[in-house]
Amino acid sequence: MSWAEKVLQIDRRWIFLAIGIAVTVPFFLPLGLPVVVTPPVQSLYDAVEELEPGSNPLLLSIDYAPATLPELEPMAMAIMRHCFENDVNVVVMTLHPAGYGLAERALLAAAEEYGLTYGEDYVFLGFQPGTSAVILGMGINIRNVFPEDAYGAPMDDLPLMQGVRNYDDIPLVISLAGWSAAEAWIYYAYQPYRQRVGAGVTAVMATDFYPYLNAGQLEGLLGGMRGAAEYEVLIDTPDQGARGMDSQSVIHLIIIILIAVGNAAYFISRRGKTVSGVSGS
Amino acid sequence: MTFIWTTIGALLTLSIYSFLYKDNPFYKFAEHLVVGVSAGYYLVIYYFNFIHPNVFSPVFLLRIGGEPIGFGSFLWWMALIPGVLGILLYTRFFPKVAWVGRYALGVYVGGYAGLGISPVMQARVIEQLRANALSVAGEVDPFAAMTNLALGLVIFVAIVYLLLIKRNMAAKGWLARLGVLVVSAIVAYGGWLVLSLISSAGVVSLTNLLLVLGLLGTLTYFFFSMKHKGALGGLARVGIVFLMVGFGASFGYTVMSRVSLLIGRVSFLLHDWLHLID
Repeated sequence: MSWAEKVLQIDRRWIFLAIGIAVTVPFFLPLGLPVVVTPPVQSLYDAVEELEPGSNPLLLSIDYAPATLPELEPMAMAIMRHCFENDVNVVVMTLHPAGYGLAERALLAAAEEYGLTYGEDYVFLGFQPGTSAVILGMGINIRNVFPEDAYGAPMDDLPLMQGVRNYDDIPLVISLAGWSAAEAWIYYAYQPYRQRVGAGVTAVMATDFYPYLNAGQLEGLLGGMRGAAEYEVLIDTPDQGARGMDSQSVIHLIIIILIAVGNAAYFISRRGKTVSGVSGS
Repeated sequence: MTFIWTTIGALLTLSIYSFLYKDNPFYKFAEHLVVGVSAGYYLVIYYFNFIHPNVFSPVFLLRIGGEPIGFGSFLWWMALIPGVLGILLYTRFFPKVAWVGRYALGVYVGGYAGLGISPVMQARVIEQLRANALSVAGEVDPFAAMTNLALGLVIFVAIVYLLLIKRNMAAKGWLARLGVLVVSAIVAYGGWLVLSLISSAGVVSLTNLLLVLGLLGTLTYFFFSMKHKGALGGLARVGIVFLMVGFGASFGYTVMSRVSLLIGRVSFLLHDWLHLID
């Protein structure tokens, strides 16, 4: 058996082991590889940076579930830290049933870091099902869709929400989604109401969103853990996103090597079979 | 208490990853637990966030958002009718009356189609057409110019390889192929220089040119009313190149996405559970 055939028949559990080691080692021995900020991330950062302190709130739609938590929660934390650092108020909601607890967890953690007051600096609206109807309805009046906040307080009892009626009073919406919710914000908030929308999506979805970004339908785009890491670099607060980038780089290098070796082994083994087949005939 | 829950989460994570070695009872247990807990969680969330405030409370308690409503009022009917339509969807479990559920399904599909057609058409077709009406005169930006040049060279050489070398020079040696590639690169570079000179802005946006070329090529590839021969065939081959570039980018992003999930779990184990890293 040639080396090429041995490579092709390797037990794939060795590859799993190699990937596991490659993920773990950089946590203990950080490489400190630089994270270069790309234009889509810079655009979203600039859009948040332009918001006036103490003015109408940014609406953050945390539309992810536990399955996409590692990619999207770092984005949520980085954006909320950016807002709170600049005294920009934040209203958080979710269109995903599993997002309720995750959104609340991220919001309370970020607010606690800055010692903020619920109802004055930030509000949690909770979950409403019926994505398109919810987004469209909020364009008419948020109170029609969310008559109360997540804890049962009427909207008018919350100082932050007293001057907020619909999208006219929300300077920017950012959707962090592991499914089509971010597209729904483009369809039902940007298109009919021309509401400014930004998005943070999982890396596997990112390529689907570049056409919207290039067409000017998105203010900016964060793609996967890499997008979160870039945003953390911009706000100068490295956290979960930046922490994982060394592992990302090492694993990508390993995968590139495996693809190259696998293809080389395949073609070499095939050529060997063809030659032996010809000589045999 | 937090440590107990974190430990349970860590053990379930390890149980799920144990499948990478081989299927085992720990994996099965964790898998079934996820399904069961998810079903229960979704049921509770949907009931208290949707069914109770939008159907049960207005119809039976005569209240919406804490405000009283009248029995038989407009708001009461607006809560009752969708509620009844929702219940009708479950008639599919009873074959003799399953047809009744089609009325509810018809309302559901019709409603969402009505809501969706206009904005989706606008976002995915009209706005994309507008975004592809591009100027070839780019901004005078050295970095952008170099990026355009590099991108243009790579794609041009790929196209030349597909159209010329693969078709006509398959029988010739690697030196001849290399020669064609080098000549193609020089032609591409020369073409870029000429376009730069004739552009009023000084630098031609090859990115824009490539974007339009890629759009036309890809659309041509999916145009099945004529045989892909001659110029049409050439343009369709260009489309294949762009599709492959797109698939490659998607694959790269997919790898990053999946690896991110693994990094998240390893970070949870090392940081939240074992406190081995900061």
